[in-house]
Amino acid sequence: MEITTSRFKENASGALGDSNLQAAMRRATGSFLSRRSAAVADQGDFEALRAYCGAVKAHTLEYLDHYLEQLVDRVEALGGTVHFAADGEEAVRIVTDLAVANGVRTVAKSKSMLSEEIHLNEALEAAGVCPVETDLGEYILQIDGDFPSHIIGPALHKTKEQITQLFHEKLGTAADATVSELTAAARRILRRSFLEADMGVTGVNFAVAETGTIALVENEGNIRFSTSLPRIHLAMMGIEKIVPRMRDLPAFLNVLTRSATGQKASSYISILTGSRRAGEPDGPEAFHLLIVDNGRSSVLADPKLRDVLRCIRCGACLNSCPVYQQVGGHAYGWVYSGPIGAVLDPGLLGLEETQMLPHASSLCGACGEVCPVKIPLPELLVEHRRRAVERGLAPRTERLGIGAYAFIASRPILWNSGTTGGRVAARLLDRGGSLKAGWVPGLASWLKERDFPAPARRSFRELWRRGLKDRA
Amino acid sequence: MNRDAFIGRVRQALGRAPGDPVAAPPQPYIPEVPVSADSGELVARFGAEFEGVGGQLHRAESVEEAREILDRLLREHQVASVLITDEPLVQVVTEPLALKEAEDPADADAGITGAVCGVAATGSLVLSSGVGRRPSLMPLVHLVVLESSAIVADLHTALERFGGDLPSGLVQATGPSRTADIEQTLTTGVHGPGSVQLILLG
Ligand code: SF4
Repeated sequence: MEITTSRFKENASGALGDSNLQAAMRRATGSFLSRRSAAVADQGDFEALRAYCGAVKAHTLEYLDHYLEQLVDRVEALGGTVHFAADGEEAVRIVTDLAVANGVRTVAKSKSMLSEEIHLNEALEAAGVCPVETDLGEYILQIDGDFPSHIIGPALHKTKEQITQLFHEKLGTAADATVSELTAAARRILRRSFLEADMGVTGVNFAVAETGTIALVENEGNIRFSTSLPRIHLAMMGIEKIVPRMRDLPAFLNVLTRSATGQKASSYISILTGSRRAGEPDGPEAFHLLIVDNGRSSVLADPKLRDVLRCIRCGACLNSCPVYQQVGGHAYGWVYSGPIGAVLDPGLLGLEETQMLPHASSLCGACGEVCPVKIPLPELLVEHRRRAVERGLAPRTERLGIGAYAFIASRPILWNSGTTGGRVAARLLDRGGSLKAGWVPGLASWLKERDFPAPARRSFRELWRRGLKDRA
Repeated sequence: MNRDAFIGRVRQALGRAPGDPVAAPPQPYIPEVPVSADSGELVARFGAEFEGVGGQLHRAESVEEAREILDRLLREHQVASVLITDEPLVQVVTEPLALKEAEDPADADAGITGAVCGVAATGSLVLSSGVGRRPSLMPLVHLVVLESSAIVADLHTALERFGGDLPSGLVQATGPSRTADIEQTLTTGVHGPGSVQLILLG
């Protein structure tokens, strides 16, 4: 997908005018959130689990070189082949070369954000290999030439009517097909792909260093097919996917599935250790693990940003984010959206292209509260904003604004007269409890994308001075 | 990029040198499972969770009863041909029924398998590639025969059973194959089995 992170404003205002999208987003994020709350309450010690998983990830990142060595040794000892890619270009070359060298015509692909990040499908097609997305959501997007908008529900920005119409046009299903008829059609078609495919390509949810095992989490069964029927299985992972021990895995699986879909356990968790063994009736003959850097080691080198690599891609921060809920994933302009996208994308793509994203937040803190590995997302958003200002990347008005703010906030007399003046001005703009400034240059464009509640008639400082007696 | 250069870059990013010491990872923390090791309680919790995720549970007192249930289920689901694993319990239960095995696994209507164990905390079945991956995956109906003594509290306990010797593919299966990719509408049987029937023996 084309990177359009620098056009967040345009993308977002398009999204805000799309009522189909708004309805789809409300339904999906709302349902994810309520199921997550129930699943978290059900696991009595969820807070302890979050703390544990956060600590294990922090530890693993701190000694990542050691755990990578261990993982690679174990996978190779099991007969697997490990490939290393410094960037996306090298990664796609490794996969396409492997496919071509093995005479692979069809690849059964399971959902992998990393494969989107490195544009794998385009490269495979260019090499004459046919990649088939086998996750239902991803398949819908593939036949529509569209892109994922959510880590867990890639097609959640589409309504049922849009999908029914799409299947009717592309697959010849009835114009009024039900959801189960649409699903059955996809089952039939994709089953053929699984039988034809010579290679299955998957991501990795967790790689266990001590055993060389990879764990994959799903509900549909397409990952099981992709890792069982084709003769080659290639799994690709960013360097950050490691957990040290098998004993860590149950805790991570627990917080991932509860945070992502509100399930106690996803339908299928595949725990794969090497390829088919002697005496096993079926399974892939060869296992390849592709480990990709693509900007991650520079995030690792930045002690303030390193925590972002703890992410287990559960999507909970997206669902909880009031900005994401409104604009959807596409507005962010790259594969990772929502709060995690706003902190990860600047790390991977550079702040120049992405500095709008950390502003796509009201800093309400909801994302930090739900994150199962305790990434301090709000603080990282502020850190990126600070750096953008420092490097002169922030819009001029904001640089001036922050400079002026610092000047005034550090001088109580100016601060007091300013806040009083602000409240008087705000009263002039107050339209039914929120500010409208169609006629004030500069303010108008800022308020266009924001609902800004009218401020209280008296400031906290004023009330405090009066001993909070008069609480009008 | 070769291995040394790749991992070297990571090491450099961390400001570490080859052979630098590695601190011990945090003490393992195993999620609590509010269920005692008492076998009656394990089975009860397992049954509730298994049915909660859409599995269908059948209790059998004896191998003969298990066979009768299986026979009835096969007829109810209009199963013409099956895939069968060669696990001892599965063989004992199915042999006298002289079921027709599918020539092409893609054509089978049902798969009949055992399981390594059942997981009480989540109502899951742990399946091993040791007996084959296809029978529990490809047909629309998955029929499982399991001794109730094979139910453990949680995934951690299940994994411990293998010691260090894991099969190439272990699957924790919890209920039928499902998707909610179209407007959050839950639909079962998208790629894997849409119906999971467990005959619990003893
Ligand atoms: S940042 Fe945290 S909440 Fe967001 S996707 Fe990653 S793990 Fe989940």
